[in-house]
Amino acid sequence: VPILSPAAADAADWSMASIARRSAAGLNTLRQRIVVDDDRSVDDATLVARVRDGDPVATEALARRHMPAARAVALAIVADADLADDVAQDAFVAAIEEIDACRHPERVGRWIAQIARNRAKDALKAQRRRRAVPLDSVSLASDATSDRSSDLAELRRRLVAALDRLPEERRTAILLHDMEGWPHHEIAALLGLPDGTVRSHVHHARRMLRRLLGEEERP
Amino acid sequence: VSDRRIDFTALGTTADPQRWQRIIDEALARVQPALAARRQQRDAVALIASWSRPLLAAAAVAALLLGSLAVTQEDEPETTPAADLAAVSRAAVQLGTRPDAAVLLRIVGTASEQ
Repeated sequence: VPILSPAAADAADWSMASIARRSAAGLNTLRQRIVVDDDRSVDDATLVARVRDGDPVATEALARRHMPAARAVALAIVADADLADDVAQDAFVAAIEEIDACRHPERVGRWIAQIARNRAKDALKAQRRRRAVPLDSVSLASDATSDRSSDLAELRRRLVAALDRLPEERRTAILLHDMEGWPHHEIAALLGLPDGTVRSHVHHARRMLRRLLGEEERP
Repeated sequence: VSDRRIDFTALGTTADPQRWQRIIDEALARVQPALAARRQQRDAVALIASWSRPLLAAAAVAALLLGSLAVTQEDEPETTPAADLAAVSRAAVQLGTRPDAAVLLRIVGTASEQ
């Protein structure tokens, strides 16, 4: 398949200046994408400013950076991986559409997580209204139908079932801390709790999950 | 023992990267209209901003021209026929002579032309 048709090739401007100009433009776009994709090189406030200008590259970077935590928060509430995916996506879309309402762009991750938290609670209420069945049954059925690998499905089933035994705040704390690497103070700010309480939640959640998952307690 | 992290890899987004990529792609597709509207708004503002500078410059030049025109008009002496007649009569009184009839006729003629 030819890259350029003969007519298009004849019509194209092949002067050195034109080639240089196009190469520079291409390199700039590439550089922009590389810079934005690197988690550490562009801060959240800069990304939010660019999203406010309609920049799709910055929006994608924001999605990659903050949607996983939004999903973790949603998972802690709905205890269903598929539903958590949907909630995280909805929360991110709502955040981008209302990006002007983000008063602290440097803390946009926490803001998106808060939106996900609220939406997950709404989704859980709606789900309970629709189906008068226990949460355990809903989440397990969903996992069993969506996972291809049976080992992975079994592991997910056990993890979700174990998490479901914890209070919601402990689930949120342990998932954000151990799955997404959020520091205690960030989780504390999201949940409106003191740092010490979050540390305690993480500690007790780990102990209980290890017991439920049958891991050996080693001194 | 509780200081060790729980391994949640099976529940995380990395457990099924292709599925997660689809979810991100869908989210990005859903926000495209909002982003496009923002780009349009930004471009409109930029266009107005690009116009505003030459417009301001043109307005400043026009204001200067109008100002200088007003000053020029103020400086010009009155040359109405009445003023000319007054000047001629003042000169005649000062010199103690009669005004020249030809001069008077010319002034009156100018007045009738206007």
